[in-house]
Amino acid sequence: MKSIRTTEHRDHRVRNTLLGGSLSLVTALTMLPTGAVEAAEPASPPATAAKPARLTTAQARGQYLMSTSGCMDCHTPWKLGDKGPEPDTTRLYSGHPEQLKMPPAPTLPEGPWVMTAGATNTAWAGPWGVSFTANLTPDIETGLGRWSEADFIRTIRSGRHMGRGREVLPPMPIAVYNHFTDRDLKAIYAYLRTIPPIRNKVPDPVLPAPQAAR
Amino acid sequence: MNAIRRLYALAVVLLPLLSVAVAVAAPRSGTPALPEQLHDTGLFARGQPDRLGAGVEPFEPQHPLWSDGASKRRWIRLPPGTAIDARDPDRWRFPPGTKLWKEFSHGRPVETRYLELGADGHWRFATYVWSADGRTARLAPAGGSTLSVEGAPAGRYEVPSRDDCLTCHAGARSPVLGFAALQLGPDLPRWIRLGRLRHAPPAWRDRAPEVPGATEAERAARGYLHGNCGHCHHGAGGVPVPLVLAQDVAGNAAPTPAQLHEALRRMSTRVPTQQMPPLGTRIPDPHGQALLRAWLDQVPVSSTR
Repeated sequence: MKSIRTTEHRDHRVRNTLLGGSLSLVTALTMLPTGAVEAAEPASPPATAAKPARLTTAQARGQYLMSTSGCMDCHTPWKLGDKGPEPDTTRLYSGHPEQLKMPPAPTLPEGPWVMTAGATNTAWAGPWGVSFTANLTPDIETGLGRWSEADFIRTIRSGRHMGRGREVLPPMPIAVYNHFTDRDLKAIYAYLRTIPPIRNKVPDPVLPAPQAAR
Repeated sequence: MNAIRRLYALAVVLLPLLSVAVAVAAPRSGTPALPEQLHDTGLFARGQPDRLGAGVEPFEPQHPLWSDGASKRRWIRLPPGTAIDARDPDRWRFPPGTKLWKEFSHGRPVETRYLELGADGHWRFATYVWSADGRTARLAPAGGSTLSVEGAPAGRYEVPSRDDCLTCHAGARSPVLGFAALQLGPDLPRWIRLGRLRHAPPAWRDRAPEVPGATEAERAARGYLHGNCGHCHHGAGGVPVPLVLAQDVAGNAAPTPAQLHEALRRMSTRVPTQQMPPLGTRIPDPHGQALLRAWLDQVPVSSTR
């Protein structure tokens, strides 16, 4: 049963069901977060380049969740360090670098290999086309600066960009992150508002040839 | 690689990668299940789809949503003795117990979508699929489905999932999109006279508000954008992009020519990552495209970019 709320908050509660192999089921069958019908809360002012002296409890929780849930792996470009590939923290959560123009993805032979990734771990090619990881920093023009908390939560819940647009593409594990509670997602959003905004316009996804030709 | 092989390959990629599972909302206690049959929602008498239920009223929006050429009919039912609160002219508040229906047809009824406002303040969304003989309609799966329908584009018809319903309705200023100040047109004063629309501006008693515009072409195009894009692209918590295509009753700025060109480009493509609206349509709307082009033709060339 699907419904939307107009008043009080209640944490998102989920129970798990095996997917059974159908991609369409990846879309979450969940309630929307608080305030879905009311005007979304205005986005709080993004952080400036200066790092906040101390994170609030919620922001720290968000930082912890992001650092333990694989967010860094794809949304912060990798660079080659002394000990091998490592996240380039000067580009923290800024997504695929705008200036890194990717050549066409290699064509894989028939067989079990179906996906390739760029050296930065921010560009992925597979049967869905080519996807680029998003800029999660609070930059107004190229990041999540205009996103409200409701937009962010709705995106994770719906699996749709901005909560209402195109589908979020692989390899973003929406079906996993959908298990976050509303409280966790609010904490992540709160933390993302504290990181430095980085102007970096991530390219649009590239579809497989038959779809792109439409 | 053909489409089936591609889908299979995608599933192979994602299943192990995502440790996939589906999240299902815990049902609220005390909420009755949605009726299995459409007639049990009160739209019509059992076995008599042409005989509307008590208190059910038809209505017609001035700026309808494009639905790939489907013809549509709409109805609303307000509980007896209740009224809509129009204090906020762009965000009407409906009384608990309000029900709305929208029927989609391709030569015959295919689907009827249903909205219901519960006593607890929650809107519920569902859709019902008609039998081929047009006598009954059964509750559709929550996850949606694809039907073979003669007359639909390519003979295929997509029944939306309940999540799909929320994509457009949940982020709008009001979950009810077609029964609103700028949509009811000449029928609006009648609802005030009937006492079913209260706290409306006095001027509405004689004349309904209209989408603004210096020319008929501008009014038509802005109305189209309001009805087809405004539920997401509005300035009160809509999608986080600097583009407002909804109209306010009090009036608001028109989109720039550059924004109109981009809107026209998006509504003219069905590339999945670029098309607008992002769901609910597989073919562009030639009428809508013509409306935008007619307005753009009136914009001075020097200001089109």
